[in-house]
Order: sequence, then structure tokens, then C-alpha cells
Amino acid sequence: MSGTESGPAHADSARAELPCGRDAGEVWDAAGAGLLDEHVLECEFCRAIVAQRDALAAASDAYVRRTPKPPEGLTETVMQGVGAEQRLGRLLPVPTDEVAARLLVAETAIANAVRIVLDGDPAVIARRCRIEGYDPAVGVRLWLTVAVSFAHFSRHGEDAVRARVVQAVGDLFELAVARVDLDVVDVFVDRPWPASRAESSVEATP
Amino acid sequence: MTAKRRSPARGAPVLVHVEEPALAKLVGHIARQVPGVLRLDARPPARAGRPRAAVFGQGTSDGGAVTVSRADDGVLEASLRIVTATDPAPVHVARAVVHAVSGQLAAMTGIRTRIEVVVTDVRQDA
Repeated sequence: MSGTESGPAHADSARAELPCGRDAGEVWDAAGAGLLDEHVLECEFCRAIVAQRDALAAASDAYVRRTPKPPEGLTETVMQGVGAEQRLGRLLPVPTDEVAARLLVAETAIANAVRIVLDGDPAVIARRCRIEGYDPAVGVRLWLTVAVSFAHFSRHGEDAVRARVVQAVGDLFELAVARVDLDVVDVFVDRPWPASRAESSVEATP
Repeated sequence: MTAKRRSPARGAPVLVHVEEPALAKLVGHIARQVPGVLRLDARPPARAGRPRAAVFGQGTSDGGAVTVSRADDGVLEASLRIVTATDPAPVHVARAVVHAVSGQLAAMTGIRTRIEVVVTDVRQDA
């Protein structure tokens, strides 16, 4: 039977015989199990196999025991992606003096920019932002839901958020804001992730 | 887009033809160089029943983020969809894109342009 004939031949080919006559694999397994006989302890070839095995085990143990550190800002980046509005929404025209140019801003872009600016404030976490309407004569109407820090929770804090939104939309898009409806949907004591590095020129909420 | 030029060697008029897809690629390349442009925003793929407009004489690049077509008056109309950072302000970035594209296209090809820039999203710069 060819199967039984090829079996031992295959096993022989996998066998790595050391100059001392021992199989390297068997010595490796014995070292792993802590079953080292006198020959292994005295033979230089067997001791080399044991040393290689110990070095590899030490390196792999160190790799397993290490505590991976997430990249800085990972949570913030993920939460921005989760909260970002995916639909483009309407395209709002931006006033421009250029005759041969038209500038448009998607509602999504405005909403996401407002979220980014508010996320730079340690006292506020922006949850949802929606453009409720736009009238070129008076500006955009926004609706926001936010979580507010317990330490900063006050009526004046909400006014500061509104002012911040109005200034941000004006600075970033040169659009007037007619109204900001603000729903405080949560209060937090410890911010679950650090405030983002919002690079807007808008000042933080006092 | 065809533009009439003078041959520098012989002074005879020659025709320089630049295909719209090539112009679209050029427009996309210019826009990407503008500081504050994080990326060009490709259009979402066409869904069943809503086929993407495919018109002869219209060039697109960057997954549909740049569309170039020729108006009846001979002006090249370019539409770009961009994603910007918050600093510089998106509206300033959009204006810079308009200036860069119209200025460089005029300098390189002599083509008059009408530019539309759509800021589709704003992301925090990494």
C-alpha cells in the first residue's frame, strides 16, 4: 500500500537529526516540557536547541504580556466618525463677489464643523446637529443636542454654546445664524474622552 | 476643449485640443495642492434607477469629484467637491480653490472658466 510506504518516508524527511543522533524536534519538545536528560544537558548541539527554544519562548512571552497602547486621539476620531452626519443634505450658497464662481456648502459640512468646534470645549459634548432651514436674508437655523459638564451646567453655559456656534458658522462659512435651538440631553461628570484639538479661532466656552 | 494658438515656430494658427477628462484631472490636481483641501470628495456610486449622468463632452476625474464640461458660450465649467479642514476656514479654502483653478487653467491653456466649488464635508485635520 502506497499510503503506508509514504508515511515513514515523510516522517523521515521531517526529522532533523543533530550530529549527536538526537532529533532536534524531540529535543525542542522535551525542553518545552522540562524533561531534559543528562545527554541534553551535556551535548553542545542539544544545548544549542534548548537555548534557541528558551530565547524564542522569552520573546513570545514578552510580546504576549505587553499592554498595547492605542494611538493618541483614537476614541475622539472614532466618535467623530460615529456622530458625523452622512447625508449630504441641501447645498447652501455662500455669498461671493466672484462673477465666474459659485460656492456651495453642504448642510453636512456645517453640522460637522459645528460638532468639531464644540468638541474643542471640555464642558460640552456635541451629540447631534441639524440644519433646520436656511433663509439667505436671515441665515441658517440650527438644532443641536449636547451633553454638558456637570461643573459647567448653567443657563449661561447654554448661552455661551449658542454664541460659540454663531461665531463658528460665521467664521468658517461666512453665513449668518438666525437661530440655534439647543437641547441638553445629558450631563456628564468626567468627560469620556478628552476634548479635541479644535483649531478653530473660536474661544472656548468660559 | 479646443483652443486656437499661434505656432511659435511658424506663426501659423494651430489647434490645441485638450480632452475634457484630461482637463478634469488637471483641475483635480490643482485643487489638491490648495492648503486646507483634505481630499476631493467622490460622488456616491449611481444606484439602480438613478443612473449617473454620462454626457459626451463631459469629463470627470477623482471618482466624479471633479466634473468638467463646456458651456454654450465656450467657457469651461468645472465643478469640484472638496472636503476641507477647519483651519483655514472652509469658505476661504473654497475661494482659494477657485482662484487656483481659474488662474492656473488660464495661464496653462488660455481657457476661460466658470468654477463651482462644493464643500461637502469638514473634518478635523490630522
